[in-house]
Amino acid sequence: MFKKVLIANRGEIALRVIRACKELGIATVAIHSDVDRETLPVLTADERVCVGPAPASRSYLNIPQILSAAVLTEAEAIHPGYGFLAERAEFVEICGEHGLTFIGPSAHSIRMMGDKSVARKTMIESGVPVLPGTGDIADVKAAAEFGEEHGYPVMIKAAAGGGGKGMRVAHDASELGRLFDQARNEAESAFGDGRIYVEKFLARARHIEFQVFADKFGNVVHLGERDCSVQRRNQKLIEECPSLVLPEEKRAEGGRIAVEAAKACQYEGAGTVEFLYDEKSAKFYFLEMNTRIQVEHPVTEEVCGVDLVKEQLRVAAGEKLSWTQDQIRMTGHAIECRINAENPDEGFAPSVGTISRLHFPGGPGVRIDSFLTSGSKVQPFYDSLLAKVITYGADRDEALARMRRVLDEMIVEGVSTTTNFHRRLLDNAFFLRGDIHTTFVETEFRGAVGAV
Amino acid sequence: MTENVGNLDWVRRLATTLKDHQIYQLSMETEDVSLTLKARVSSFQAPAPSVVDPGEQEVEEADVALIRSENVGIFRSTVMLSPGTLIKKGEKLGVVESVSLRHDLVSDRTGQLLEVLTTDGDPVEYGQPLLVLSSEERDTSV
Repeated sequence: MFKKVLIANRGEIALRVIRACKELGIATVAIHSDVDRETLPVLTADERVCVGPAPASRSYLNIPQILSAAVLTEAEAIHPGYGFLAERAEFVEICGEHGLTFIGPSAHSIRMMGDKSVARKTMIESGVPVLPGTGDIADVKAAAEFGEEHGYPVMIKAAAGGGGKGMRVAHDASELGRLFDQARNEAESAFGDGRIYVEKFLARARHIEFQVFADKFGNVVHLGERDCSVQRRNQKLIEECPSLVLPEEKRAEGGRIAVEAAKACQYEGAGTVEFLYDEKSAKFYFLEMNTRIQVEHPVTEEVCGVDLVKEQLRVAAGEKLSWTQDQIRMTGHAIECRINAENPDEGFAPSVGTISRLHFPGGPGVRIDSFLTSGSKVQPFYDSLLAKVITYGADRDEALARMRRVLDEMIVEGVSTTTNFHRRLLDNAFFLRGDIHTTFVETEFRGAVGAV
Repeated sequence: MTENVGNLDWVRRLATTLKDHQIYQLSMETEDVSLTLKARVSSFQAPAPSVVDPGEQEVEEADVALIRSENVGIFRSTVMLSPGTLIKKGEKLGVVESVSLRHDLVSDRTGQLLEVLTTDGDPVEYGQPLLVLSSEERDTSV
């Protein structure tokens, strides 16, 4: 096992990795920007190195400085968390050149899955179902031809995409040109890559993803699904495990396809295969594979009784997977609400400030992954995620009842948060009976509570 | 305080106390003793500021300026850095060696070197103060 690991991230995920390292007896190095000096992960790590000023491009994305920090502190491995450098193939290669283990898949796997049109092609060749779509297209004319042939609505997507960026749904030919340009511009600025493709848009579909895990010895397992259908503009808000709509044989089928996808790109470590699931036809369609640990990994941990971050460390250190497929059992129900520093009454505008009062509830079945302390500064430079509130129960009703009481007890003052927005979602009749799909928040829920 | 204040044994005990409590630096003054003790630790392992610390910042007094590292790496001086030396604006004082590059450390002002805060061969981080200069002669070139 590693003796020392550097965590190339910030916030709750940096803390999550430090916690796993501590429990495994691994020394930790936190890197940070100069405004994050007094955050919890930096204070809890054994060593800390300031790598640059606040803007992420000069600190958390600054490869030469992060590498220097790793070499000087004699770290053996780098855990990238999610976001920042987690899915940058060239960073994986540079780590290797300097004798550092990147805790994650190979550069090859990242490249294959990071390019959405290459991933799509690979999946088709491996027999994994995908929605009808084009390859990269040069102009709106090709998109219009596709719409003509397969019918509207269609989804315009960025080949380099992720996190809902560079995505637009066109409902007819008349809005295609405008949305095509928007998606391309957004992709250009977010990823520096304006390549676009078009897919058939599946209305009222669920977002169901499978957690997969692979070791260096070719063992690949899945750890069931997460239903992440409650989204706002393709950003996940609530995730739960298991999904209400998957019978056991469909779970087995989705898991099998996900394992195939991981094998197709010679995967190693923790990954997630995302699908759209059409309830009517009971069919999965491959969306993308995320080659990192995901924000919502705790719901799987609670239901499967595993520690995915520790397993990442073990597998990267060359150990065999801790479980065979038969040993993985799903018990009970877990739900996660992502509490963001955003103001739902002002179009979810990011909110910054100092946390003046803070209380995280406890009690049975409650887990809160957060880096906040009283006095924490919420910075404008980074992601707005403040806390992941996870509740576990024997069944969905118990997990939901716990989530309601936890959100009622929770106190986060000093910035606007999405806590009350989540609290209202938990009382929504559609959500309660599991009648949800990826645009549920913008349609049924919006109708019930007003603008979102 | 006892009458033993200032003797060698007392300093030793004080140093042990500092180490035990992970105190990085202590300055004190009594009627006949003035003393500063600094822990010898890698800058990366220096105790982090406490969460409840009301944001104590290093004060840059008007006549004193800090030369900070812009990079993570090993500091090596390229000139003799002894207090009292006159440093010129634009003068190269050392390098910070990172994994792949050597970054020059250049003075952004003219002044007298007052204190060297790091040792040759020490790891340094972004923003770490390395040298203290008096900046009284900053405007001599105007």
